[in-house]
Amino acid sequence: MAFKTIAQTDTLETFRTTFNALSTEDFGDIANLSGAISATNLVDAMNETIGIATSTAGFTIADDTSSSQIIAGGDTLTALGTANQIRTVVSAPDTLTLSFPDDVTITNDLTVTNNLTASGSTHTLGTIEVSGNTLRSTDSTRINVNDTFRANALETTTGAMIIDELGSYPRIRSTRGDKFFIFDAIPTFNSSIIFEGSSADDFETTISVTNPTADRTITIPDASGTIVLEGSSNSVTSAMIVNGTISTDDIADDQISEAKIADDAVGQDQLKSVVNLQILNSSGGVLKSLYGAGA
Amino acid sequence: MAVRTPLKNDSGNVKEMSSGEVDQIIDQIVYQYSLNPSVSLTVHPSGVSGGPIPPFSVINDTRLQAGTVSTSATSFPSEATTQEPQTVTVAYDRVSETSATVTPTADTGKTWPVYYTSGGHIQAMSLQDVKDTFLHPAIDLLTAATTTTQQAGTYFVSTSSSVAGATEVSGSATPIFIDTIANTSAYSASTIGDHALDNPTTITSYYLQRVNGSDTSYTVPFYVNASNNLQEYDATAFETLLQEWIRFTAASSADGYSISYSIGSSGSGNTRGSAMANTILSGSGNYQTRFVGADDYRAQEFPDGASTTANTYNLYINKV
Repeated sequence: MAFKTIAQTDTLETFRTTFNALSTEDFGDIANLSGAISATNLVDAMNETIGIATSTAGFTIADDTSSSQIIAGGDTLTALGTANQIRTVVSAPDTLTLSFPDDVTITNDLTVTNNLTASGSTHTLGTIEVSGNTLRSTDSTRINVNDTFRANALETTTGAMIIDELGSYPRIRSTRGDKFFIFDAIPTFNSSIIFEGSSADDFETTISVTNPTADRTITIPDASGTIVLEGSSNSVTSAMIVNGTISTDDIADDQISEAKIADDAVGQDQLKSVVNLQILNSSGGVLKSLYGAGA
Repeated sequence: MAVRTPLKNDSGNVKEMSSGEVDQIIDQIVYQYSLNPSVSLTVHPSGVSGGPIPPFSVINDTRLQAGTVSTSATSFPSEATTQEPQTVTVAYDRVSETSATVTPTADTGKTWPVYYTSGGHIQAMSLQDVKDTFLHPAIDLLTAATTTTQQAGTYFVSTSSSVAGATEVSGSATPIFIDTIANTSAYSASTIGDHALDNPTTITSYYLQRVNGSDTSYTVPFYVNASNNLQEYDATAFETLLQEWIRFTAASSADGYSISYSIGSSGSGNTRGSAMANTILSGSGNYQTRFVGADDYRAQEFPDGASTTANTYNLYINKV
């Protein structure tokens, strides 16, 4: 900041710009004057400042809202705590210690940027209570997890059911001796069910479905027995076939041998384009009817 | 009229017979008839006792004999007073007809061969069918004018006592008719009064022959057996059945197919064999005289003239 002068020969414009620079750059905006100064002009403010500085060794204190107070020399700065929030301790020679009381109440949000350790026996976050290794809701019988929940294992109340991983395989287990596992549900699988069998080895039985193109239903009947597969041989017994259900399409062409046709079993209705050749007596009376396949 | 086509066994299949095969059965029926004709003719060398039995008629052989000898003690009797040659008549009634009484097997409804009906069934022929198909055609053959094996068992007249393919009925070459005329050479003026008035000579003898049968092959048809199945006839049984019925038909049928014979100058049906001609000389007399002694003058008219046929007789076979 250099001093500014206006020569006799200077123009009014020079005078104007010089004056403005002097006002804004050298003297400053009166609005920016500290609130602790009550004077309204520069000279008085300087004088007031000098008075303060020369009369006391005080300082100014301000809070988060920029509210400030000048602590004058000789004045006492009282630091008060808030019940269940913060506690102040003044100690010699000039130490103010701020700490939390044993029971802290935070009336608004608490953000912990690092670890939070609670060593008590029961902790409640909202209505979620953590008691030891037990997690529960204090206001309902269900805890909702809105994100993916991952655990090493999930067990039911008594551990009868365990969901965990075996090696790289997910596993659902029944810990009952009989291995019962009740599905009060309609399990929906993708395309296959694999049975390991009694021996965990390289051999499994897979039940697979061809991708359905419409809703399909395969009904297992109310009966005991072994399911017959397409590749089974010598398995389907007569008792398994409902009487009167085998149709012509079930029988390959030219396969019914003579021995499979009972005596007197072929009647006229079984003959194609049946013709009836009658043997007549000389009076036209029918002596015998011979049924045959027509042309 | 229902002519049927019998069914036969064709290598295990049932097939209608051809018309030729049906004809073979008809020929076999003829043969069966020939084995035992039910209408038979008999030759009686001395004629039928009591005269001919209808429908047979007496057939006469006529010839001329010389007129009686006229004598005179003074001169030869004139031609006008001399008796004309006289006609001698010999009657022949040596043939009789006998129809056998036949009781054939009755139709049980499946006695006869089977045929394929228009409705596509197999039916046993009725007796009428058998008549129309077999029996009546067989009778037609038997009564034809010819004398081949298809007329076996029927009769014909021959001028020979021995004919190939036939049997002379009498068995002793007895003619059933002898055509005679006067033997003009037997008369001589020098023997007037000594020679017989009647000096016949035989022109032709006629013999009754029966056509011999000839067994023919044929195909046995199917019939309905007792179990109502189709079965080929046993040939012997079938032939017996055929013989019974052709014999009955020929002898007793009342539908115009029984066989009847007749002999006469006219008749119904077909003539059989040679016509039997009764010839006679046509002259008015050959006047001859003989001087035997001083008071013995003789005259006589001998038969003369050309041989002419006075009558012609035939054996007729007819369906009645």
